[in-house]
Amino acid sequence: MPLDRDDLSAVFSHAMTGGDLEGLPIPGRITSRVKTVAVEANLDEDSAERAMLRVARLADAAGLRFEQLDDESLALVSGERGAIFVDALDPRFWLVHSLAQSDFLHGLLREAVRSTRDLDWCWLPRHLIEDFRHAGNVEWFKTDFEADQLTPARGDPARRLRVQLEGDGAYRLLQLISGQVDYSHAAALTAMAVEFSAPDVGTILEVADYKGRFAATGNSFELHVGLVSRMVRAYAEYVRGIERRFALEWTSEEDGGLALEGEVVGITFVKRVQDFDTFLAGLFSCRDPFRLWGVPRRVTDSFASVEAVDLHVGTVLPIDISADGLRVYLRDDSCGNSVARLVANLQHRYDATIRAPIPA
Amino acid sequence: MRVEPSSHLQHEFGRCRLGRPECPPLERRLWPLNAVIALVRGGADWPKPLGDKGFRIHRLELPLVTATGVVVVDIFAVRDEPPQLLACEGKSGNNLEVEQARRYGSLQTDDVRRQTRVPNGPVRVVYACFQESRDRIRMGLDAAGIGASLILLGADEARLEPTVGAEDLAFNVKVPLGSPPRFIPVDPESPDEEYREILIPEIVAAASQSVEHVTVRTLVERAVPMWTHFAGAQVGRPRDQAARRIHGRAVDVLTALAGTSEFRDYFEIEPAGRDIVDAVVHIIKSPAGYAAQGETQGWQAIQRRAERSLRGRVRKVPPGQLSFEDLAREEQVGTEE
Repeated sequence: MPLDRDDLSAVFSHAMTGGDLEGLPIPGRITSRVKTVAVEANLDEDSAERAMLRVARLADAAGLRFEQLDDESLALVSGERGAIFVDALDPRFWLVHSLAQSDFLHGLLREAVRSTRDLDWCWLPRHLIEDFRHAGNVEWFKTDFEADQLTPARGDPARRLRVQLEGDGAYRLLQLISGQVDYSHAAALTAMAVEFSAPDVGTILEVADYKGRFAATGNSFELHVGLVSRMVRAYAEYVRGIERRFALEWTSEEDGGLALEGEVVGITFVKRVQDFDTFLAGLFSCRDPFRLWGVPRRVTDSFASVEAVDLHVGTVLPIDISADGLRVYLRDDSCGNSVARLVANLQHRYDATIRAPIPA
Repeated sequence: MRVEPSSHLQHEFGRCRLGRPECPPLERRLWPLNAVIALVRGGADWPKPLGDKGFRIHRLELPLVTATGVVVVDIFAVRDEPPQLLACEGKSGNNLEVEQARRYGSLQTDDVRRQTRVPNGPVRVVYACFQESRDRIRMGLDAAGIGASLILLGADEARLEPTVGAEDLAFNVKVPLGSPPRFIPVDPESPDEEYREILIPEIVAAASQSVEHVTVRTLVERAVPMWTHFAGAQVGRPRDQAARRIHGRAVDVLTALAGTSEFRDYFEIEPAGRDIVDAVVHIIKSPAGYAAQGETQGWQAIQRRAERSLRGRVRKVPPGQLSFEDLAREEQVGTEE
């Protein structure tokens, strides 16, 4: 189809301002809100061609049409209910744009991520969502903290916290909660909205969450895609940096010895684990969001080792757990996304103050 | 033979609430080796006093020819400035091999530099052992006539007791309770249960990727790359032999597992033969293709079987918790009409 990146931008901006898209092959009900989801594709080759081939197969599996657009890393996937545009400019970190109903977009991606082992969400640790705050004025935030899976029913001053506030001073409330000793661990940053404008370009209201999902209203797709790209680029650098620093790689050397590169990932808890049984059972329950399979080997009341399997990607992820934190052994076939996912979910399920490991 | 946790470790680990301590996460035999790696490189919560002194790990399992024979150095660490070479041997018991100690003692800088690319500095020998073995190891070193520093591992500390002339190496640091980081989780001498611990998850991982057939070699290369990555030029050399032993152990362990009631529905193993160069694991059943809820339950079912196989019982899962938020929502209390 003769539609390139510039055309796509014009079409989406046109739709955002309520323009008619008649004549364009975008089926289903169109909204003026542009949605983008960042997806990590862990393919065996980092190329646009390989990414497009994977998109085509996924489309086929979902019963949708695949069309390569006038750009080697851009594709249109469509069906009766709607269309998505897959941008694989970075063949590993795709941006999936859509003007369709969000049910269509998210339902499609949810099933693709669940049923495959090479696709995952982009799990933004808190510091990356915090960066988003500096893009513009924070107009809304949401905290969705739920520690039921990892902490016992009683004895925690804050086990579930759901707060959202809209207004010019929204972010101050989150900072207030974060400053309270009893509640800081529950003050997760789940989603945030910023208003952003650029002279001569336009204005948008952008909403982002920690699973790499974005939505915008306004009049400029360029501004939206600029903000999203910046965040996803930061995330991609983070994940690759984690792999560079921590992946344990053994090589056999000419002198007959072995060389070892990499480090053990340390995730330190500020809030010590009080109930180890509940924590281990919850973390290795095979259930979302962690999806970790494993049979913990309890050593003491507060130390265990697990040869876990990360069911998101289908690789072994050895983990040591103590009351004070985790050691994660990232193998050379592991993915940095596993660490990002673990951290982001622990921040939403156990302690929002957990710091993400520092990448290379 | 399985090395039972000593009273020292019993004390160190305490007892689980469930009544009996489970085995350490890392064989006691492999603690000194892993501890030294951590003390050089750091390992999450472990300090790296040798790394802080400028040392880095050059090689592990490095075979070196000395005037008195070949010694395979467990960990060879080096420092550029001022240049220094550390040849480390890990000992989990009370005794050392005198002949091996003499070979360590005869390591000369020039000989080492002819065999591997390292800085031009003096060679220091370091033995790493548990604190309670200190006197016996020191006695053995004296008998061998070599001056070596000792890294002594206690329940919550690690310290280097320097030999004469190596005082700059001394350190005394706190380490977390529990085991050192598991850089090397098993070796060719590890008992079968250690192989089961690492191989069952590898099969689950393959099953989760909907893999139907996988060779044992692939599984062990993923599980223990430190022992199985060897170049063709090393055929017949110690690491090649270790890799072959590990492969053989893995075949035996997987064959036994495939015959158990826990796993016979899930996988079977086809031995190597005339037309098959390696034993192959055929995965019969995987929840990977199930619908969402069924998939989770499928993995949990395998988890219970693995727990029975590895621990002899299935741990009781803590009961579900009452959430007031759910109660209120389900009963429409506090909600808008």
